[in-house]
Amino acid sequence: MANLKEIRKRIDSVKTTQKTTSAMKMVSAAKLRRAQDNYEQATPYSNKLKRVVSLLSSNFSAEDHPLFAQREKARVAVILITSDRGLCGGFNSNLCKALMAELDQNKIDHAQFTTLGRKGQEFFKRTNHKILENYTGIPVTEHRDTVQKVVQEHINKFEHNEIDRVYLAYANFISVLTQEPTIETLLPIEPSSSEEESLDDREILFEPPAEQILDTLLKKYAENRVAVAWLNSIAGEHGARMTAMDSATKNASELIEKLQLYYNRSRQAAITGELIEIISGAESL
Amino acid sequence: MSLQLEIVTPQQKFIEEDSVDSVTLPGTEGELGILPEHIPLLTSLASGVLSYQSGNERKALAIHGGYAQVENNRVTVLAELAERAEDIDVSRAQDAEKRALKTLSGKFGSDETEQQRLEKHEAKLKRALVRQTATRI
Repeated sequence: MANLKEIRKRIDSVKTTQKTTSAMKMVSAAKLRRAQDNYEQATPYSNKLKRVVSLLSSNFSAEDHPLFAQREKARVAVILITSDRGLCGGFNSNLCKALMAELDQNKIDHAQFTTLGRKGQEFFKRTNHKILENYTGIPVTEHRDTVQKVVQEHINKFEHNEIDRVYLAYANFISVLTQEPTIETLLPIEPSSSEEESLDDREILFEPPAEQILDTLLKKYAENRVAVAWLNSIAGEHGARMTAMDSATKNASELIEKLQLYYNRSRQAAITGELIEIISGAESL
Repeated sequence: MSLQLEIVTPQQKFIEEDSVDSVTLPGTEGELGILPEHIPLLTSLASGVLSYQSGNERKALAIHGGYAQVENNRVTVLAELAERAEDIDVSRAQDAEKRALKTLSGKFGSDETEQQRLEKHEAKLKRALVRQTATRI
């Protein structure tokens, strides 16, 4: 039987851990609210932009712009968005595993990675894939510059025929409990078959001509998709951490309860043992 | 007949008005006046003043780049950056104008980085001027 002091120590240590996890849960809950707000504020713009792109690209066919060019998926680049910190359950590993499975399925074994977030880099540096660049610890205020830089680099490479396809991988925030690994094609941009019918059947007037708008608009669209995915991923990270810390706190409570019971039993057993010793000592006199 | 006006930026939904009488947009090819029953239009926007009339009220905003779409009496503005006239700090804009003018009066080389620097400061000057104009409407 473990000695009483040891059990006491164990209980104290679990209690300290519980304090940490419950504090982390509270912090994540506060951060989640802000992150979710940021994401929701950004969605109207993103939806409108998508609509404008689909309106515009329905006037064009795949040959009209280099960013529409569909090629064999030989050389692939991936922009992977993960969190910088751990302790958020399967948030990062689920995404990385899903991405790995997807790449294996398409028989891509030397993709070029650009990772936004430390965890993605840590996972893929152990594989055959090559990590070109890693961005860690970028505050939200600097997202815009980073995204512009990363997207511009990929667009240049794509237009110069150095890569054939760019994937965007991130964990999509569905609810606090669920984040779904999402892998989308960022480039080439698929000219959407305007599923949304125009409300007005008169011909659209473009100023400047559509060709000129198209170029900057497509770039903006790609940037916006990455930026929104990033905001989405941050919200997901906090959601996942909150859930993970919540269950950690619960587990700690259970463990403390069990240890406490064990401690009490041991203590009683020790007292009974001592009593028996005293009584049998007295009897023998 | 009236127009719906919606202005969104990458950060937030900026303005949503259900009935405005006219909108003036700072298009890259020149200013555009939008009235109800305008034909569908898609235009890119420059740095400039966007103003709209609703009833007797005329409101102005400083807009810096983006796109505008007109469709079915609905004007959607996707602005890179938008500021309401009442939120603009005029003295700050004036300072920015002076600073930009001072830098621009200096010398600029002809290589690419220098040209980019020139463009950057020209854009700064333009923004400062637009902000001041917006407050005067």
